[in-house]
Amino acid sequence: MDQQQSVSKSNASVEDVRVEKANLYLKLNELKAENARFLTITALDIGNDLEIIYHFERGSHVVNLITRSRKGDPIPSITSFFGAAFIAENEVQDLFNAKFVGLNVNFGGKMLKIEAATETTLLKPAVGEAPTITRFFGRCRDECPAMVNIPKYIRQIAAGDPEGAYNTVAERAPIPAILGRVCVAPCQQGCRQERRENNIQIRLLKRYAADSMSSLRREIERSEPTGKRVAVVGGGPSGITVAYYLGMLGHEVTVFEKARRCGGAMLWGIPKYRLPKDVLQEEISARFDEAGVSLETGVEIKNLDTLFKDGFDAVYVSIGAMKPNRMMVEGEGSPKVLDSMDFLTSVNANNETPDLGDEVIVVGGGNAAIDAARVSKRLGVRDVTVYYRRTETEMPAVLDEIHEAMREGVSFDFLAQPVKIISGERLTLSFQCMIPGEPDSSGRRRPVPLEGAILLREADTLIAAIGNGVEIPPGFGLEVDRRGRLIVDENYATSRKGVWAGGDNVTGPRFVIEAIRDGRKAASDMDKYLGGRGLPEPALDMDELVQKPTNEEKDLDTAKVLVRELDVYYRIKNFEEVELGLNEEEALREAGRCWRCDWNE
Amino acid sequence: MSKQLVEKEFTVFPFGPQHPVLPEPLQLRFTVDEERIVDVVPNIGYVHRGIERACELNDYRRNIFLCERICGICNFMHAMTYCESIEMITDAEVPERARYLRTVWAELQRLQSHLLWLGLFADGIGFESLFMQIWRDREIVLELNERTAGHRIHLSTCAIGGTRKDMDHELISRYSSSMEELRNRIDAIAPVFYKDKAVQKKTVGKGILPKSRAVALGAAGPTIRGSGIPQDLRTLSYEAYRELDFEPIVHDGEDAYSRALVRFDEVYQSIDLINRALDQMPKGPILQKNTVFPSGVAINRVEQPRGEVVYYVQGNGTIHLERCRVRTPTLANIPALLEMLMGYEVPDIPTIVLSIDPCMSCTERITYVKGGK
Repeated sequence: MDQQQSVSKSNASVEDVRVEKANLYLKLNELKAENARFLTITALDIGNDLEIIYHFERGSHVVNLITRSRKGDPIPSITSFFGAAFIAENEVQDLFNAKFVGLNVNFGGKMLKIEAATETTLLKPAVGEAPTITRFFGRCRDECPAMVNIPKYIRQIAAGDPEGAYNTVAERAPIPAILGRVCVAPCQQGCRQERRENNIQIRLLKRYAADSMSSLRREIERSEPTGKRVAVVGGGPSGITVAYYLGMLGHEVTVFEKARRCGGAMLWGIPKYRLPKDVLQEEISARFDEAGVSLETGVEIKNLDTLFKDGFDAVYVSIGAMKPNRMMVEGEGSPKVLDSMDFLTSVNANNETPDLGDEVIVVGGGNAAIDAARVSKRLGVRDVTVYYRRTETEMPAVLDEIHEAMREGVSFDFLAQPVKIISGERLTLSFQCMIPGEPDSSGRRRPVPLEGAILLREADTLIAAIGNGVEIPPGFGLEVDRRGRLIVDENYATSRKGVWAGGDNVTGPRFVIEAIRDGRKAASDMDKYLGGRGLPEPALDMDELVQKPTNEEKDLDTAKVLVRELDVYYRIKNFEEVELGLNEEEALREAGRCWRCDWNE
Repeated sequence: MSKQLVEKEFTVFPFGPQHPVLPEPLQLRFTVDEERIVDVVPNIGYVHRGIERACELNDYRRNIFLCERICGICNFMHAMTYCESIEMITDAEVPERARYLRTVWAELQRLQSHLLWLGLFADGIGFESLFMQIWRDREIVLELNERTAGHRIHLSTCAIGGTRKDMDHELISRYSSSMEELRNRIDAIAPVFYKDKAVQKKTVGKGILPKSRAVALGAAGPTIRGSGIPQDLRTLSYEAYRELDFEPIVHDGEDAYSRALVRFDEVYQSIDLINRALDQMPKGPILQKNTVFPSGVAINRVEQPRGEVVYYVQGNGTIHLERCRVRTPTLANIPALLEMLMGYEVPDIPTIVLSIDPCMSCTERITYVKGGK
């Protein structure tokens, strides 16, 4: 054996020799004479035949002896030439059900200690069956509070069926067009591609599906009328959800709304540049039309007894969190100190343009503060500054919104809390500077006053955006906790029989998608109470056929589509929608990037 | 092997699959004439994991991690062999620096594998203190592994078209100083292996594998080199071995002692190879990304601590492989082991069985059944 000869490891040093089964021994004799060393046997299953490849080492070359045998035909054993082959031959015998003749030490198909080794593998049935397929919800769907079937509607969009996608969303969240614009999209945080900051932009895909609908009013059938009557107090997102699902189940639903239009916090709280009000109204009235919901606006319910007296069988309370928190600061009563809720309502819902002067200070760190600052900027205010008592990282507002506000020219100042307001021709504000202290119950560091550090600022208007509390009219006769929020059980039933509650008046101010989750769960329980069977729970869809992600490799690796936006200089002059959504080509590409984590073989 | 044994009364007793000497399940069914072994039948297949089948279901790029798990001890070599096979099929170029890095890590694995085995062997012949000392020295290598990859055993640094990780100056100097320390420690125990009478009494002349039979039985690795045959795939000059002046280590005692000495000398050799590779390592990129799906057949062989591993990889131009067959060195050495045992006495069994360095779990990664087509 010439071992010193240096051969590059390429296919050139491998010699393939094809032999008939009858001539196998001749060739083996040659190899034996050349002092070849047996390596192993590889068997391949090719239709009706088995391809048996004997690997030998001769010199430093590999010699492959390739022969074929019909399945079931006996194969001559080579153990009489190369005794070491008996393990490899037994292996082939066990695994491919081949028959070797003259095999010395024949384990008879029992070398591998697995019961019925030739019938099953650890992975999948060997004979005649398709691979088992496992389905998951997908991490995006797990993250979604309303458990919308996100993987399915992404696939529907990729397959060019945006209407189907819209219906898929509406199965669990009735307002896709609105959610496509305002949802905080926890699903996108769950996306596995988030780790390389390349997540699927699920919210924009939802918006694309809604925008592709010729009309948001769909032709769908309601269930047979049940004759039961349901009152929904408050027409916010969770009220709309309850009204729609119960209406579709055949109940007669009436929504009582205090304001002139439905929408709740989505109407007054979310500025027009994020959610155009015509989209909001079109989608809500489309849902109410489909479900046969009657709407009474301008009606304030003070007592639930009157509703039961009027013949309603069940009541859903979703009056939201509408009591502004006070700053508890001297001089707060000045007319130049506005509350963010009043301010946003006057601009967003009532189309007013209040005069704010040249300099506006916003106090607070939530989404309402950012909205108030961005709206002020659009009303022509020169300088807008947001003061927050903690630091940037602890701001509860959505990070993207903060960045957009910065791009639009809103300034921020952190670790400052107002302590005194002096009204004059302009407002003079004194701020106490803070430093971060020990962590509190929410895990954020509690700001502590920095002794003697006082900041003086002048402004024309101050907007307080320090959150809203819940105030339930005492006439409702419902149990509340110490912060005034309604107490409900896991099905959102309140302490009073026949009354359910959900949304902000249970959780405090939260996101739209969470209000929808509350509403759907409550609607399911209310239907059971009214004699129905409830709404379906999220279930794994085993029938849907998913294509293996094989040929779309190119799509799976591409970067995310950047959404087109209005130019900053243009957008701060008006209230037009900032995000322009995806067009068809972009949406198909974005949907094609999905890794289909809900599918597994 | 099984012969007609009728005239005399023999005892048949099983050795394994659970036995203090065997870390992994292998059963040898001995037929003994009083104390003398007259027949032995191996019984394997206790630890199937179906990896060959799983390799076909996986994305071929994720198979790297699967192949790494065929064997814990030589995990990097498995990944390297697999990656090389794919590179051979797709005609991919591997950057120069990556070839050196692979060589360094492959030799590092050989070091820790040989030290592990030398310890087990010492334990097998009843030399507890030697066992503990060698395993303590092995910690140096494991610590390097941890510094390189964050794991003590699994490196996971190989990728198709190069390597996943690089070494900076600090790590390279750490490698050099650790190699120096390891050499000093090994120097201290060298006299035990070369001069100690107790070690020699237990091993010299046990488990003879004649030079004439070694090739016919298909033995591999230190087992065949212990019988005087310079069979070592590193002479094929893969990766960076061409530039490192590699000469296989051969001992011609044909017995368990020779096989132990081959491994012991290879510890020194690996230290030298690592040092040389670190000195000569060029600068440059470490990974050339491969975007072609493999289509074709590759047969690839790499010298592992226990001998040659053979990969037969067949790709069909998709993301899944058509077939991925692995033959690990222990499987090749079992027929030789049976021949070695013949004629020796029962107390010699542990020494002889250990002398091939059996690693059953990698041997039995198999279970391949294809159906439905």
